[in-house]
Order: sequence, then C-alpha cells, then structure tokens
Amino acid sequence: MQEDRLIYLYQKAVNNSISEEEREELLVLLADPEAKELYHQLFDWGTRQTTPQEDLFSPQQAGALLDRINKVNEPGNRNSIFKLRPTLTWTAAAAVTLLLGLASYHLFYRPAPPAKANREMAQITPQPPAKAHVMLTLSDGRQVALDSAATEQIIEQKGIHAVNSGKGALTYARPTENDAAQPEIVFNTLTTPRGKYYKIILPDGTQVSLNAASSLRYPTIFSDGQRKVELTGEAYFDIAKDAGQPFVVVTGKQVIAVLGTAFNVKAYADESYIKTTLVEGRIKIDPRNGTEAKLLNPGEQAILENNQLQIRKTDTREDVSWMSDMFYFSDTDLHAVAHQLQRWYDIEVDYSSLPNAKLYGQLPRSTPLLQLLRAIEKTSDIKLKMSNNRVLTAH
Amino acid sequence: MGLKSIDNEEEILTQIAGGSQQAFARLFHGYVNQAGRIVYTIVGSREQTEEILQDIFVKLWKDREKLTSIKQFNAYFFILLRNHTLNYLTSLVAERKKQEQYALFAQKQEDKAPGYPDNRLDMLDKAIDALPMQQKTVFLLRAQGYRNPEIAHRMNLSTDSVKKYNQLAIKFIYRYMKVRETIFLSLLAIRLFK
Repeated sequence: MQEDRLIYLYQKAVNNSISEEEREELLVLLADPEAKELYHQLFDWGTRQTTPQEDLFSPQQAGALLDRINKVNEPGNRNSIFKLRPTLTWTAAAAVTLLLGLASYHLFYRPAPPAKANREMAQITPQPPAKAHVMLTLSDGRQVALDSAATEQIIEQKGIHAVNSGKGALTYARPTENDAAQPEIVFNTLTTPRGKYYKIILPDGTQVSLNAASSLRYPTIFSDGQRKVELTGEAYFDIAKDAGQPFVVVTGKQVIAVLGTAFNVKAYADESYIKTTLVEGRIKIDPRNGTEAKLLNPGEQAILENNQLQIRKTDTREDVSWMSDMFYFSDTDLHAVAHQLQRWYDIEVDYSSLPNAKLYGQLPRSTPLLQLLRAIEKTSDIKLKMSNNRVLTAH
Repeated sequence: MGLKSIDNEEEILTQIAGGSQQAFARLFHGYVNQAGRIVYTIVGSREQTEEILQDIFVKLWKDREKLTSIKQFNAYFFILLRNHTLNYLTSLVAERKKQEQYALFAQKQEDKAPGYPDNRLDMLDKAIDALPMQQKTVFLLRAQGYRNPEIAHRMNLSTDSVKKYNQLAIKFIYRYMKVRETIFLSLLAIRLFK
C-alpha cells in the first residue's frame, strides 16, 4: 500500500492544492479497505487542520438542503423517487443542450426512412401515397423536378444559371458586372411537397431553407434597390448583408423588412397565424393592416393572428429544429403538433377530435409515424390512432 | 476534536427525540457548514457533499429516539461523518471502475467492427448501464422528457445537481460512443422505442 502517497495527497486536499487527477487518485487510495486505519487518522487530522473558512453553504443553500432532507423524512415518503418508465419514451434525448450543435451537420439531407422499422407496420398502415417532388417553376411555366436529379443539374433561363446540386440545394449564380447582355428579370418559384424540404441560395448569397409543403417566389436577379421574395409555408432565412438593398419577405398578411439577419417564418395557409422568430440581427414586421410596424430583437417571436401582432420572448430552438430534421415540442399545442405531422408524414388530421393539450418532446423526423404516436400515447393521456384512409384521430 | 457543539445541545437533542422539527433544523444549521467543509475537502464536489450530508441527516432523524442516550453528540456526529464519507467514496470508486471497464469494452467493440449500427446500439445500452445510479436516473428521466425542476423535485436533488448529473452522463456516453450527435439521438430513439 502506498501510505506515503496517500498522506501526501490528503495533505494537498486539505491545503486545497490538489489537482483533479490527484483527487481521483486520492479517492481510489482511500477506498482501499487496507487504508481504513490511515483514513481514520487522516480524517481526524484533517478536521483539526480545517481553519475557519467561508461557509460552504449560504443560508439559502443550507435551507434548501434541509427542505430536501425533511422531504425524505416525511412519513410514508421513503421512496419518493418515481419509477423509471422502463422503455418507451417520447423525447429522443437528454440532448436539449446538444440540439444547437446539430444545426450544421445534417442540414439539408433527409435520410431515407428506416426500411426495417417500417416493415412490421406495413400491415397495419396503408403505404403512403407516392411522394410528390420538389418542383422549380420557371417564368415560362416549365417545371423541373429537383429532387429526382441524382447528379448536378444546370438550369438555364434568360442568361441566368442555377445549379441544382442533386443533394438538396439549388444555387443561383451571382450576376457578374461585365456581363455584356443585361439578363432579364424573371421570377421562379420553388415548391416543396409534404415530407420534403429544400435549400436555395439566391443570387445575392442569401440562403433560404424551405420546410415541407411550402413555396417561395423570387426574382432570378435582384435589382432596383430591393430584394423581395414571397413565401407561403415555412422557411428559415439567412440573409446576406447588403445595407443598400433591404431584403423583404412578403407572406399573405405581413411584410418583413430586413438588413442582414437570420430568422424563421411560419405562414401556412392552413394555420391561423404567422409566426416569425428572429435568431440574429434585427427585423421589422409590418402587419399591413394599418397598425404600426414592430421591431423584433433576437430571441423574440412575432405572432400575427386575428389581425393582432404580438411579440414575445421564445425558445428559438422550437422554431428552427426542423433545420436539424428534428421535431422539437416545448409546451406546444397538440393542434400545432398535428399540423406538423400532417405536413411531414403526408397524412390528414381530424382536428375536431383533438383535445386541448400541450406536448413536450424531441425526436428525429425520420422516426416512423406509428412509433411517434405510440410515444405520445405512452407519455401523455392522449390516444392517437391512424385510420385506414390515413386520418389521424384522437380517441 | 474538530466539531463544535451547539448551544443547548442536550436540550435540543431531547426535543428532536420528541419529534420537534424546529429543533432538528437548529441542529442541522449548527453542523451543516462545519461538516460540509470537512467532506468537501475530501470529495471536492459540492453535489457529492450535499448527498453525503443528506444521507447522514436523514439517518439522524430516522433514529432520533436514540439521540437522548448519546453523551457527546459532536463526537458521535464526527464518527458518523467519517464512516459515511468513506462508504460513499468506496461506492464512488466502484462505479468509476465499472465505467473504466465499459470504456475498455467500448474500445474493443469499436476495433472489432467500427461503426456497425447494431454494435452501437449494444454499446449505448451498456454505456447507460455503466453510469452511476444518480446520473443514470437523471439521464433516463431527461430522455423521457421530464424537465430539470421536475426531476429535481422527484429525486429530491437540487436543480443544479440534476443539471450536473445530466452533463456528466452525456459527457460519458459521448466519450465512448464516438458517434455524431444525430446518430446518437436516433440510436437513443430506437433504443427507447423498442
């Protein structure tokens, strides 16, 4: 036994000069049954060495500790720890803290749904209808399916090139100064079906991620001192800075004016509100109903509903989680959850059957629908089922 | 002797034996910082110090009827503190050993069949299994969607301790899983959905 070493380390601990590694070593040495006698001596000695120092616990901390002790002491409360639910769960992870780190990886690639997990469910669930494509509509009405291209694809129109990477992104070339022929301004529209999302890089370098069942209309070149796009559905904007050319996002009922910033807009026609969440920078929201436009600061969310524009602080993760291909619900209304499921799994929902409830949880969007429903069921008192014609109903 | 008695100690002990929570609070406040400092010196962690003290005071209350027969409470408490701290250390070290064994196992698995998904699933199971009890409980509860304050309340820990245990658990699992976060998340989802 290394008595000298143990004594040396114990002294260092008492003098508060011990490193983390040394502390580990000390604990291992102390745990040795043969060291028990020495431990008694050292404990005794150490206690006498301890000079009066600042209290370890403030009165509040001590009070909190006493409360916890009293709670255990309450009669009949010996085992107050709740049982672990043995297996199933709703959230995928303790990783709320980690979610932020995910954004860069996995961004615009949606993995194929796990075939194996689906097999047993095929019998009870009708196969989803063949998935529609991500479509680009050109100014002349021509349509190009973007997500069926396995390799790079170049789309040319009126002097403007757009490159479809075949990996979930469409990039417009920045027009060069010395182009002989001034290209003509035409409008394109990118449309995503349910269950798919796509990224587009506009000619000014602005990046827009378009969530499922959404569409974005934009000019192939920005000019006249303004960059203006029109959105239905949901998108995340990372605007390229250009003070001389404000960026404007028009959705049905509101206009967002931007200088250089990142934000998420949710403006689906089948939901009664437009939700704008600012991640960084500053934006101004004009509800276009005669009332005053409002400025939004990072971490704030503007909700336009029933012609009323309200601003509140928010957990922005909930609104940008789709960028990491995750569902993230935090006190989210069940109806809002159902809308997301409808758009992602391409199902219909009997909204009138849904109870008023709030959900918490986090799961990859690649989770098969039935597993997800089962998870909700296991962790709340909400029972959800899919009928044969793919309608989600609560019962 | 390193621990100071408190004023009217004998009378306070008699009151505690009679079931007085107020007297128990006075005893607690009289000793908590003296004892806390000693334990903290050895274990070096506030959370663990709190756990040790909690166990001791719970035991004192449970055996409160015997308190009247103790002649020198400060000496008695000293022995209790000394022995309990050692017990705690011993189980701590045993848990760490378990984790180290897991690390070895994880390394072997990775060498054998790097990145093979089923392998990883197995590793995740074992990693969760290798966590110290408190960390494991916090981690699994978090994974089930419970929030920190709720877990703290149910497990009778401070919210800070819950946060810390969760961080430690995630750090441990990450270290040995060596997978990217998203894979980890999906794996966890699969594991928990089985």
